[in-house]
Amino acid sequence: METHKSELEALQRQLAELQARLREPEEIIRAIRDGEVDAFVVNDAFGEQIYRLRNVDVLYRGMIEQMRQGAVALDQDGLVLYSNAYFAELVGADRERIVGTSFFAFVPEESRPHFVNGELAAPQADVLLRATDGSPVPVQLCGTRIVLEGSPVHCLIVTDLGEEQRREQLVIESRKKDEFLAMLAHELRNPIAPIRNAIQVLDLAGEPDPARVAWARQLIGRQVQQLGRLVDDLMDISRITRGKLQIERRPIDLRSVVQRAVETTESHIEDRGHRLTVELPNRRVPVAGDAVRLSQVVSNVLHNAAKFTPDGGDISISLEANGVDARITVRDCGIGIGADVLPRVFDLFAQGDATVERKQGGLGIGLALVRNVVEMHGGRVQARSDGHGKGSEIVVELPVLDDAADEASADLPVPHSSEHPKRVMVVDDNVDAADSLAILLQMLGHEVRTVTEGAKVVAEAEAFRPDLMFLDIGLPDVNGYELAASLRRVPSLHALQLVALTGYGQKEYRERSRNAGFDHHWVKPLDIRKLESLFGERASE
Amino acid sequence: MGPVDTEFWNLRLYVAGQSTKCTAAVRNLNRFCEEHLAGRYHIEVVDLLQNPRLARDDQILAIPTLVRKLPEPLRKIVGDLSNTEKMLVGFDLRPGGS
Repeated sequence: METHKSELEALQRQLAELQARLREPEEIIRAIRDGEVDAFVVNDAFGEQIYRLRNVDVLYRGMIEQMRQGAVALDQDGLVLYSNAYFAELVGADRERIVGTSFFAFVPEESRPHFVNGELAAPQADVLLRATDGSPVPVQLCGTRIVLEGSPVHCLIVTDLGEEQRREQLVIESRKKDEFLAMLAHELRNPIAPIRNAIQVLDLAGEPDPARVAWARQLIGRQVQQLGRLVDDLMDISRITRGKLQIERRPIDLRSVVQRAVETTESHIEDRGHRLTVELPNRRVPVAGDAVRLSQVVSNVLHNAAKFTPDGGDISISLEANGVDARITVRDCGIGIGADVLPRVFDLFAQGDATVERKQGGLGIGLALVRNVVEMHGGRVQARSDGHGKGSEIVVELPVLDDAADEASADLPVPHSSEHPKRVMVVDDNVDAADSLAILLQMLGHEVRTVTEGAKVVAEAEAFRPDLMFLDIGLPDVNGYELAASLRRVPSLHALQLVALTGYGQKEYRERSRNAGFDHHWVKPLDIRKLESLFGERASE
Repeated sequence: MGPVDTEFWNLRLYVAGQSTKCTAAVRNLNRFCEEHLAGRYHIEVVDLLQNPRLARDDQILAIPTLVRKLPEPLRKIVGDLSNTEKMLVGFDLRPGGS
């Protein structure tokens, strides 16, 4: 009896197991018969494949899935039933996971009013959405309601307005650059014409007339200086737009930066008949900065003040400092800055008062450079004005250096603090370049020798024993860096100051120069201020 | 009260793209869960069209298929989930199953 009972139980158990195992296949068969199944997973030679029962709507599907617009379908509760790749990407969501999430996760509070009962209230609306990282996504939404299996589905076409704005911005910038190029061409022609005339005058004159020669020389000098400024500005613009403006920061006293800037702009200010007042504190104002660039900043601001103030006006510059910040304030009583222009006054290619700019020449880069350099120093610059005709004020703020810093630090790098004449060697295969630099150095009181062939440099250097050498890296017959290395190997030249001169200023070249043993790397043409700094300068306090 | 009445439900819905049945399944499932499992469920939608290999996990053949991972035992329901009664029975939320 027992065995029958246990056999029966065993059979019952097996039956129950079979029934349990059958449950799933029966379920699948039922679902297929009832038309509730869309697709199957099939294993073929390449692994799992999805076989879909229907493949109609291929054209529409392709269109919706590949168009450069967002398409998203929501159910009555705002759940995403479908999203094309463009929409998912637009809001920074995972394409694979966006289905089943709430669309309203992408709708910030302020945009909720656009939706009523989970649908866009108006047929079309400009709405601000929010991406998964919180960033704003301005879009235009177009909604329609369709019915799917008896239930309403809300379909939205999403147009990225941000892209339109970005495109508009590009068009504006492109136009500004075209205008700038036109102005540049005009500006460059200005100095060249008088130079050409002066040269022709000299050519035509029979006997050299000292007065005429002096006139020509001065004119050419002025115009070349202007040309040089234009080219410098152009290079700075290039550096700014490429983010490659470089500064060297050392402990300096802002007072001498201001003084130098005042000296630089003095003549321009006087020419316009302006009165300039300068206020400097008694104590040092130490800042970690690039003295050359910072005085450029201050002189640009002063130059601007002078330019935009009618003749005979008042300009003031003051420097104040507490232990934390230094502030340079330049005030003028000139034409002022309109409220609409004020926010853009430091932008490159900003629209200023074009007529005034053109009358006075220059590329209008001054204030853009100011902002870039000041920000690179960890400071900030602001412009204020009460409007047209009410003057303006520009304030530059810079962080002050901890006063415990080296008290004996100089203003500009001064390897030789004395003004004794040096022996200088100039190496450049371009004879004009070498001679002109040599003459300049001689006029500064130094003893100069020029070499135009790389092969002769080491021998000449050993004989001449220069204190300082300007070496053109781009020599045709010899590698400048190797030459530097060879020079460094000569024992009697161990104290030689080597300055690399090149047409390239890029960072890689500077690093190569440093590694090759150069003390400085300067870009041609040389600024006389740099020369002066190398040999020491007049004491400024 | 058994585990199906109190525990947290972990559901996985396998779909293949945005076909009519699959979108219907998503919609129906959400509604079902809101009504019968409010506050104690999590739905994960797996799109096999994006990654067919994921079908291996739960041995999926027909799509759409809903899998209840938790609470145990594992249960599968195939189809667009439009039949609420069948789902309740299938998930042991109603007496009548076996």
